[in-house]
Amino acid sequence: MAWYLIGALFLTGLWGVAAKHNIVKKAMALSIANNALILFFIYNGSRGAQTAPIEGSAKVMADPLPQALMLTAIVVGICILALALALIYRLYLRFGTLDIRTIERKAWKTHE
Amino acid sequence: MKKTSILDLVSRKLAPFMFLFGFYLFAYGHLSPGGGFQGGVVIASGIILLSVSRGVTTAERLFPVSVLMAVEAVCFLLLIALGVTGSMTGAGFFGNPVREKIIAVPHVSMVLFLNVVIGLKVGAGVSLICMRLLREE
Amino acid sequence: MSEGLVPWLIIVPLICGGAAQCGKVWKRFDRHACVLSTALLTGIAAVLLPARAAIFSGAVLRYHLGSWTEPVGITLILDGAAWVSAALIFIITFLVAVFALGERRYGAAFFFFLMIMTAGMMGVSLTGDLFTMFVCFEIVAIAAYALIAFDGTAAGLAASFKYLILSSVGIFFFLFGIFLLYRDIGSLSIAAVSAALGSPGAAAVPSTHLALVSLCAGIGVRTAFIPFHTWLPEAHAYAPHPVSALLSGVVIKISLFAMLRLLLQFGGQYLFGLLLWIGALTALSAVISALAQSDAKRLLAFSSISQMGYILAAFAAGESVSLVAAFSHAINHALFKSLLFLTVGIAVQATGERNLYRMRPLGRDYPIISAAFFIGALSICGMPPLNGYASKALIGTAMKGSPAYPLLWITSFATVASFIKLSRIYLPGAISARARTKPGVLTTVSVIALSALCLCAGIFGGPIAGMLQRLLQPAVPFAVPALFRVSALLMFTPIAVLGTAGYFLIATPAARSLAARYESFMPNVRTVLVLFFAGLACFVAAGRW
Repeated sequence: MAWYLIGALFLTGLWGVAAKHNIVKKAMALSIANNALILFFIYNGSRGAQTAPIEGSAKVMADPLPQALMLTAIVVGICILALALALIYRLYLRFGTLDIRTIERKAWKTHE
Repeated sequence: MKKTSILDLVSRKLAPFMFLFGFYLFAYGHLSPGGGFQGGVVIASGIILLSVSRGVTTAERLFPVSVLMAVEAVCFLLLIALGVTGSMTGAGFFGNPVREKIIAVPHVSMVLFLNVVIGLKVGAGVSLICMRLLREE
Repeated sequence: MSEGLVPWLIIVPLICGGAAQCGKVWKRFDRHACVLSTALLTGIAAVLLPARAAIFSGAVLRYHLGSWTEPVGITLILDGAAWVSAALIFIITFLVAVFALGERRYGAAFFFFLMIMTAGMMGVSLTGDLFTMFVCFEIVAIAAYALIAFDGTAAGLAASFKYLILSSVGIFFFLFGIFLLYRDIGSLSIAAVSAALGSPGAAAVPSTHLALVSLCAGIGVRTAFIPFHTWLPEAHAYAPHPVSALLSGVVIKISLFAMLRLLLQFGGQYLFGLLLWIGALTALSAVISALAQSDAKRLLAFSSISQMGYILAAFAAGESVSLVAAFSHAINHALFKSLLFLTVGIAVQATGERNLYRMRPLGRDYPIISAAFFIGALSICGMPPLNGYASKALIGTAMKGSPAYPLLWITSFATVASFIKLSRIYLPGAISARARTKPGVLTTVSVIALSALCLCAGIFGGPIAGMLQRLLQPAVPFAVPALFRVSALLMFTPIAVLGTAGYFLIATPAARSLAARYESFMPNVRTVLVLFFAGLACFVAAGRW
């Protein structure tokens, strides 16, 4: 059941990137899809486990390897989001609008 | 609607505890959940709380942008230097140069140093990102 | 030769990046930091040259970071293919950095991103496990987004944003593929996964097929073949000039080499049929788009896409000489395409115009740069003593019986036509009194070095192919093809003739208006993403019949 929910989250993110015209919403949808992927890994590692992977617990531990890898993936996601927001800010200063269609039309025109 | 002073007051009292919690996270990252990146982000969130509630110019008096940039650059070089010391002592790049316990310092001291350096760098970096965007330059 | 030298391939660019960052923070040392970081980059050569003897005799150097072995540790593997990639990255990045030093308008922040991108590219080539490959791909990508938008021009910002969106969606699918492999196999190192997949390879189970397809689609966005290519024309055309040279030269090659490695290790041979046709169609459609362009840098960007299609089709032909042909053309394309982007960049800078019909001819003003430009243009057309001829001859051998070969043949004379069209910017015209700004010494030196490399790679094409074969596939015997036989040389003549005829065809007014209408068709971001998903669906379906 949890797989379908995480899958729905991923597809929501992808739909948001493709369908929304507002570039801030596109960046938010990218972040949602990224989080869904991270959840895939962590949920997979925690199947059949009873406790967090801290040394010295007697119970079955969750798989620590995907958790460590996902820390890196979260960092990467934050960097992408920060860069996207910086680009969005500069685009807004330059074009005065947040609509990707207007921005693209105006951007390619200046170089005709 | 007038802006009340409650946000001001609470953020001024709360921010030091956020810094303390961030330091705790990266100082104890090798023993309990936490670590360099997590602690750094919590420190950055303390700085961001101050910038958002009291304005970027006020927060800059406590954390000047030039100092944050210097911290970031120095920590980057320090991180590479730590990695190279590992490889110089034969334990591999980012390996542990400490062979046995030095008085009470445990065997994992390499992870501790890495956590501290990464925590400071990430704190400086993320708060720089947000302060630059908030400054609206 | 100890294995301890291997991580220095990644550490040296990071140190250069740290030096550049210090120059960014303490602005008084800005110029010193740029020079220092470029000078320190030669440390990579100091690592690659001692390793040459060991690698050429077939040894594989493995290095475990922090002495943590697999499956928990990160392993760096320096084998023949990784050595070739590292050498290519070093040469192109060093020459582009020298060019940027000569231009004097790029500060320490620019060099910082350049060095971080180099460290990421070295990471992609050297790594032995999939997750480190993902992280290094993202390092390269973030540096690329920042560099494309570096000048702050409107088109550069919009192009960088489009690249960000499409590339991030692609890398999500790469991460999804890693997830599927981890779920089934439980390990992420490439060696362990390829051992677990065994001889039937990834086609055996639907989930591993979906995993390999997702990995390929994710990397495919970075490599820009149809239908994932739509970000490339704008991103490479509107970036600053050294950045375009670097992106078109090395960055798309690194992702291609990673994809080739994954396909070969994970048993992806069943996808070769689809990749052959994708490569051929990419080559043909991109070069037709290139013919229609009037913006000089967009023409070069489309021709990059077309040459990547060439390389992919050559690889997917599956012959014994395919891998060498693909690598050889990738290296030669890196050399002549970066040369072309740098020289056209100098022209755009000097005239202030991007439209090649409106640029005044610069042949007499910049004689050395024009000669270098013509060496680059003749290389890409495949003229005999230059390197394009050597690798195209190898590709011809690789694709001899293949049904997609006629498409590549049409592509080669369309390439000749498009570069005859581009060469008008460096024709000898009147010496202009306004040509005060001569390109600096370092700029000229880097351009001359690249053209010298093109010439050498062409003259010694045969021995270089033999060397590549020894590095990439030491077990397979290989006869160095005689590239300079008269019959092979004569093959170039019909291409040249048909190309020139093609040029005169498109120079007619009717063709020009058709081209102008075709040029203004630029897909928006939504179309781009729809094309991505369509391509992904094609890949998934391909393995099922």
